[in-house]
Amino acid sequence: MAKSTSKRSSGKTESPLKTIIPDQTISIPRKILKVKAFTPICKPLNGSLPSSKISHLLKLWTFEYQYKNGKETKTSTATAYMIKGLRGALRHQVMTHCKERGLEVCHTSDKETDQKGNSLLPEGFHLLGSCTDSDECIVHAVFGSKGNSSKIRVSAKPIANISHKTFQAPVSIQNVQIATEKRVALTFEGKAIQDFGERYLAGEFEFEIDITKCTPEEMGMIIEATMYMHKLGGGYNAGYAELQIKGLDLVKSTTNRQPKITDQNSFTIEEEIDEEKLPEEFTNALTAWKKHLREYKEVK
Amino acid sequence: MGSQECRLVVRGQLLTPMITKKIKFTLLGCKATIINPRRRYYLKINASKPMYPYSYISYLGKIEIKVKSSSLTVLNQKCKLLLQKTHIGRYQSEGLGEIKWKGGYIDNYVTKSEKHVKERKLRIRKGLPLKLTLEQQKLLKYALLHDFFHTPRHQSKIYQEPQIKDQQLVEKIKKHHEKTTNPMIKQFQYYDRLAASITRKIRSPIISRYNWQAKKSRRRINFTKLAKEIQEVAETNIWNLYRYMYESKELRLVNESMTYGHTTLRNHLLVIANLIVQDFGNESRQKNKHKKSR
Ligand SMILES: [Zn+2]
Repeated sequence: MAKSTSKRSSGKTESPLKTIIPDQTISIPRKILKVKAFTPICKPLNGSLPSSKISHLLKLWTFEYQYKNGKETKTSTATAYMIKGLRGALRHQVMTHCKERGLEVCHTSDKETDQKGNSLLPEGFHLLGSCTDSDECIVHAVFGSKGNSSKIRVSAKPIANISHKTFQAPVSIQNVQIATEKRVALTFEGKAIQDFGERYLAGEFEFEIDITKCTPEEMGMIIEATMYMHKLGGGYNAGYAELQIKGLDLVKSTTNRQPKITDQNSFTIEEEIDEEKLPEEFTNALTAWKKHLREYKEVK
Repeated sequence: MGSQECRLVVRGQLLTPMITKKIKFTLLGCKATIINPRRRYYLKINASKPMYPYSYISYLGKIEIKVKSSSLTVLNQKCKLLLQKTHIGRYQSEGLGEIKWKGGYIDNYVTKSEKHVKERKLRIRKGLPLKLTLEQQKLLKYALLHDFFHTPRHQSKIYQEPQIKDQQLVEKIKKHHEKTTNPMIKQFQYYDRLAASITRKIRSPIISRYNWQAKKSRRRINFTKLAKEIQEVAETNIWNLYRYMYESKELRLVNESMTYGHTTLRNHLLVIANLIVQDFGNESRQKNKHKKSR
C-alpha cells in the first residue's frame, strides 16, 4: 500500500518522522469521579431492530477473549455493549436534588406546555436555558442546553457477559449479567398472542464522571447528587431500573500518550493512565457546595 | 513530477460509536476516514417531551487521518493536536466518539493531478424532458400517482383518492404492492425499491403523516382540495403533473413512510421519477452508440 512508496527516502537521508511526531509525552490530565454501582435488573435500551421483537442494548462489537481451562488457554468470543442513559440519569438526579434543597434550576424541557396544553414544567424549576441571560443556574452551568455544551462527560466502560471467572480481553470490559426477558403484551385464552423481549443487565459495574472543567461547588453538587442516584433506564414503576450506589472516588487521572518510532517511517502510540486519589478535594468540593446553598438562601 | 509533500497518516480505533452521517469527514482540518465502518443507530429519547425517539447514524471502526504538508512544523502541530483528542463528534458528554490512537506512518506524497472519477449523482430535475414516448409517460404517471390510492397495505398517503377517470390505471396502482406479471408494475416496483433505498436511511417511527416542518409551521393541509388538484393536473399531461409535485408545498409537509420519518412524500415521488428519467437517458444513449458503431 502507501507504505511501499516510503522506501524511497530510506538510506540516504534521515527520516523526517523524528521532527513530525511530538518529542514529549502528551499528557491529558483529568479529574474523574469514579462511581461503583450495582443493579439487580435494569434496561438502558437502545430500541428494537427492524424485523425483531426484542429491544436491545446498544451493541458495540464482538471480541475474542482468552480464559484458562485447567492448564490450557482457550479462546472464546463475547459481545460488548454500551450502557446508555447514564448522563440523563445523573442530570435527573441533580435536578431533583437541587429542588429539594430549595434551589431553582433548569428543567429538562424548554417548553411550558405540550400540544394539548398539559403543563410540562413542574413547580420549582425554570424552563431549560431560560436562565442564561440573567443568572445562570448551577445545573445549566454543568449540563448546558441546546447550543451550550456540557461541562461534564458521563460514561462507562463497555459491558459484556462472560461466564469464565478469569479472562483476558483486548479492551477493558466490565463483566455483568446480560440476558433477555420475555414479556407478554397481550393474551387471548391463556395464549400469548403478542410477545416481546427486552434485554437487561444485572450486576456490579463502574461508571465515570469527568468533572475536570467544574468549579468546586459544581463538583460538590455532582458528588452529593450521585450518592442519591437510584434510577437507570426505563420501567422504574414496574420494578426495573433500580440503581444502588456502592462507592465514590475522586481521582486525578492522567492519560499519557507516547509516540514510539518503530522503523524508519512508522510509529506506534503507547498509552498509559496514571491515577491518584484526591480525598482532600473531595471534601473541599462538598464544603463549597454547602456554602453555595447557604449563600443562595441568604440572597433570597 | 508534481510538488513533493510529506504526508502523515495517524491511525486510531473508535471505542464507542461516533455520530456522523458520512464516513469521510474533516477533523481539525485533516481528512478523516472510518475504515471498516460498522453502522449503529443511536436512539435519543427526551423523556420530558412527548415525542418519538430520534435516531442518529453513528459508526464504529478504525479511523485514519491524513495530513499533507511540505512543512514539518505544520505536521508536528497537527500530530500534537490529534493526540490530545480523546473524543470526537457529537454527544461526547454521553461518552460517544471515544478514540484510542494506535500509531501511524509517513510517506512522500507526490501531488498528482488526481483523476476524479465522477460519482453519478441523482439530480432532481425542475421539469421532465420534452421527448417522452407514450409508454414512458404511462410509467411516469403511474409512479407519480402510486401513493395517492388506498391499497391493502396502506391508505392513500393524503387520505383522499383523486378521482382519476382512467380506471384501468387506478386498478393497476392499487396492485402496486402485489406480486405481478405485469411488466409495467414490475418495472415500477424496481424503481420504488431503488428510491426507498436512497431516501429511507434513518429508521425513525412517526405517529402522524405530518412531518416536523408541518408541525413547526403549524400548517394544516386541506387533503380534499389537494386530491382534487392532483386529479385536475393529472388529467392534463405528465409534464404538468411533475411540475405540480415539484412545486407543491403540501407534499413537502407529508411524510412518505410511517417507519422512516425523515423523508417527505414529495421527495420520494420526485426521486422515483428522476430515477426513471435517468435510465431512459442511459438507454437512448446506449442505443445511439450502438447505431454509430454499426
Ligand atoms: Zn437554569
